[in-house]
Amino acid sequence: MEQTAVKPGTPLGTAISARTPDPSVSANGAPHASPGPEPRWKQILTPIASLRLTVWLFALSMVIVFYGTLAQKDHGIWHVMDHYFRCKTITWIPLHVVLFRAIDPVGFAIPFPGGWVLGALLMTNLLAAHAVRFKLTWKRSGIFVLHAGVIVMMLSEFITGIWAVEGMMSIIEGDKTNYVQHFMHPEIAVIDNSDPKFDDTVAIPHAVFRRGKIEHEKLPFAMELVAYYPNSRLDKEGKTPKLATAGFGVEQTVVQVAEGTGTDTDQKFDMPAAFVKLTSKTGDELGTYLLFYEWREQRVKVGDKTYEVSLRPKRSYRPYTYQLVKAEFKKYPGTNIAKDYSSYIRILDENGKETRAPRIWMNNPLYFNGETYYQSSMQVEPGRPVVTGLQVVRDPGKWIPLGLPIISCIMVGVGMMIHFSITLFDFLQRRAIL
Amino acid sequence: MKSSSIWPIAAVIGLAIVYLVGAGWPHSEREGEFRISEFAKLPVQDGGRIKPIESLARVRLIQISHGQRVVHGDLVKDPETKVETGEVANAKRIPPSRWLLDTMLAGLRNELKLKNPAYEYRVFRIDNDQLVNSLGLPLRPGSWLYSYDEFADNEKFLDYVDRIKASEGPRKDDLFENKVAELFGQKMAFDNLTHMNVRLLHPQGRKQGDDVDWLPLGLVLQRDFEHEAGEFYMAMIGAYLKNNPDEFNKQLESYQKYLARNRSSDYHTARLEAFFDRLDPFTHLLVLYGFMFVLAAGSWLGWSKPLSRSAFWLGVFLFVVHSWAILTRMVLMGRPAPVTNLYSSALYIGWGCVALGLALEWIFKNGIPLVTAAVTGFLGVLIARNLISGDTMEMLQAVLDTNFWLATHVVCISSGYVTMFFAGFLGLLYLVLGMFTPMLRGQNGTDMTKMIYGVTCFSVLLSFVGTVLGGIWADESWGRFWGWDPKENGALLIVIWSALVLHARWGGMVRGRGLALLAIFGNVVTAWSWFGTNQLGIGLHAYGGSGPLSLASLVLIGFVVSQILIILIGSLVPLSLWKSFATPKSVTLVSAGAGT
Repeated sequence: MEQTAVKPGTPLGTAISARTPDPSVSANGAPHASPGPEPRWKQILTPIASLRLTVWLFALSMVIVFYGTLAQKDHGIWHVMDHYFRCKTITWIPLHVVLFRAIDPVGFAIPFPGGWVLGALLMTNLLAAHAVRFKLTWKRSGIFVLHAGVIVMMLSEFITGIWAVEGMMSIIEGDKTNYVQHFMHPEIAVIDNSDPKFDDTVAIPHAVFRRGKIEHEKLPFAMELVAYYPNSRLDKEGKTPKLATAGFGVEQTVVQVAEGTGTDTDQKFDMPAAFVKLTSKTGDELGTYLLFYEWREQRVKVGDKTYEVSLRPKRSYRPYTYQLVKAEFKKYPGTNIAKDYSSYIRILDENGKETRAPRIWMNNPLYFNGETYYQSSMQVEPGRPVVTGLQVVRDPGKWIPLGLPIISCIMVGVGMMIHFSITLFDFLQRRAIL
Repeated sequence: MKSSSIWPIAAVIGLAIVYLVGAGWPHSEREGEFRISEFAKLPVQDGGRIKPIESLARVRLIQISHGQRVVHGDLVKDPETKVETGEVANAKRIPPSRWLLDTMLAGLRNELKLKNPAYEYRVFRIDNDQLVNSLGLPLRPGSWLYSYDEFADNEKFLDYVDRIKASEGPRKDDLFENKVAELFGQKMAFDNLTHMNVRLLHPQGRKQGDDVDWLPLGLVLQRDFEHEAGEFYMAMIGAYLKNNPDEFNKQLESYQKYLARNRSSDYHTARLEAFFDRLDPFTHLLVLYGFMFVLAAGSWLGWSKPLSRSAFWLGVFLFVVHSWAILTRMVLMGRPAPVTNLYSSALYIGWGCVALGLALEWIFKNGIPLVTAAVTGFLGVLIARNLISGDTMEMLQAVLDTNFWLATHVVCISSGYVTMFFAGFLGLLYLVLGMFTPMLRGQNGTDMTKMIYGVTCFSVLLSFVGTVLGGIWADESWGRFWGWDPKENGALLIVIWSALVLHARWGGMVRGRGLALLAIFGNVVTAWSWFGTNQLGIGLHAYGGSGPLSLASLVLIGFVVSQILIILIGSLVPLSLWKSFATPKSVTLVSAGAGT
């Protein structure tokens, strides 16, 4: 078996291992001799369980982690996560990234196994190794705990990758809200607020409005997407021709800018913009509107009825209302460096009764309703009310106490400590230091 | 220990103490001179904390001139060509605090039509020859220092600045525009000082320790409201302008007494930091680690026991000094964590490597860990010194401001770097000693392999625990245990790499030489995690082909390339050509640790 200290057939090596059996080598549980013929399943699993394979998989994982980091110069973290770390098939690494940008992008990419593929292979390798090689002894107990932890850790990354949902809740001081916004998922909302009791909203998700032309019985007009910028900013110089013929876009337009990348120093959300041409059901042209993420709703008159239209982050509503009672912002004395932000929140249930009044501040999130609320940002501008930004995360990996990631990490850490302590103790004893 | 073996140790440590005391001995002004060295210790609020005037002066100087020295004097010109020779006649060192005082008084002296040395001190560093030429300034290779008078009113400079302002900042990839913007920033910092926009005055009637803004001296003078500390400063300034040292010193002394009575904690904190600044322990540690290296490496050449013992005990002494210096910084910052920024992480890594080296020497007693400790300790301090770009005790951004995590996560990660670098340098030493000396024959060779292996075990543990603690911190701060961001990925790479090294060892894929080579690549991985990921963030195409490369990234690239070359050499040169492993057959069997 190749896990023994030296490959058979090298006489020098055999001589060495015979003279000085290496203590660290036997530590992984490689049997030095296996009596009798091996069962069939063992013969199949043995190559899969090889330590050589482990080392190669480690090396490949490092490549994907490294290039996934470099790729964040070009793309946002979510894109990189999907295409590198959580990629379930083949990752295509652009040639200019591989060559550390020594060349300009050439549209050529090198295929590489994706992050989750490598993860699955490592997991297989580890399970096979335990099936074939490891026997549970006190001496190896550390390794067992450690490897079990690694398995749980991979599972938790898998669960988070598949099911975790993140969003932002922004509340103006003194104001209330009852929804979470998902900035990564823009939608076009058409609101009919002719009924004073409630708003009738039709939300068109990104994937649908990007198709081009949309007609639907619930929509008062047909909508055609003229142009869409995934990230944009207001055109301050006023040099760009204005595409819009109605609404705010007549006065001011936007320019397209590059999408934010993972290494930008100011991690901001992309601000998409859409030009939409609206036509009423009777065939009257209502004009081309510019819908911009930063703008509020715009009014569109169809016949004698007025609707409100906007491009906004997807919203998911909560059965509670969150009121920002007070926002606090502290600075280091004599500077503008932020020291602390806090939000004092009141949470009201459907009947308007207060259920909780927590304070959320840096490193002190609120756990509520299966979700976690973190103090994420605070907009403080003179002459304007303060707006707090709370990050809202729902992660099924955290349903159990402490959460899977932390439990798995404790297992790995404790396992390592047990294993290395045993090794160190042995070593010091042999050197007669203990 | 025999009494005869104590003497070399005592001599070496005595020498180190004499050197340190001599270097830190207070020098005070003579009778009848302005006591600037005492003025330098007065407290001031800057960057969100209380520090001595000396620190403020040094930080501003670093910002403006990229150095901490002010040399005043006349530039010597060649009598025929009228070109500067680079020499300075009547050169006089101006202490930083004196420079600050002169600069703060520049505005006042202007109004009073007095001679104004602040505008003549050559403190502005303009190191872009294109910019120097465009402004019509003489080239001053070596220093690149110019005075305010030489460029501030230059119309071309003002033009460039206006143009950059109109286009909302310099273009990222235009070095010239960036340099103009940098010079403009330096001028702004200077102008701020000339308006006495320096928070020298504590708020009146408040208890000390309050998190409140101190008042800029200029504001109090301008508005002319009563302020006790302001009165003292007015009196000192009056005496200074009238060139009356006795009066200045008298007022200074009464202000010191006033402070000791009313704001004793601020007063003493500032004095401690001023003492620390002047002692400058890290510069001297640099010299002394060099000394330790000479002793430890010398012990291999001859007179081995006394030399290696002296080197060991000198190492212990330097470790104590290094620890004291780091602890003092922690006290001054009021933080339970030794690492708060890149600068302090370099100091910590140097310190950790020394500690690890001493511990390994205690176990193995072959001088190898001592040499490694001296080299890594030296490099840690050297790198730290080159990272100074302002206040090294700056305040932390809100999200980092949590003592518990600073003290656990950051310390763990940095300790992981310590072990990675230490193993890496052991690997380098393995190559050097193995190739060029017969030293790795027998026990030394196996011992070295064991050291690299053992240190790597620690590094996987520390890096892993550190990374996890970071994950928990991130989870509490923004709800994501793991976000795949560059710094996190860097830490992950270290964990995977050390796991790879250990598995390769367990699988018998590598032995002595292979392990050393893998450990050397660990240097690359760690350098990337420590520095490389930071270079990514500044958005200057730091690792790209175009655009300005910062010095830090050039050094990083150089280091990575050198390590990879060394690995190639180490793996390509057959063991039969290595001095340690190339000898008679009988030896081959003994050198069990060698061979891939």
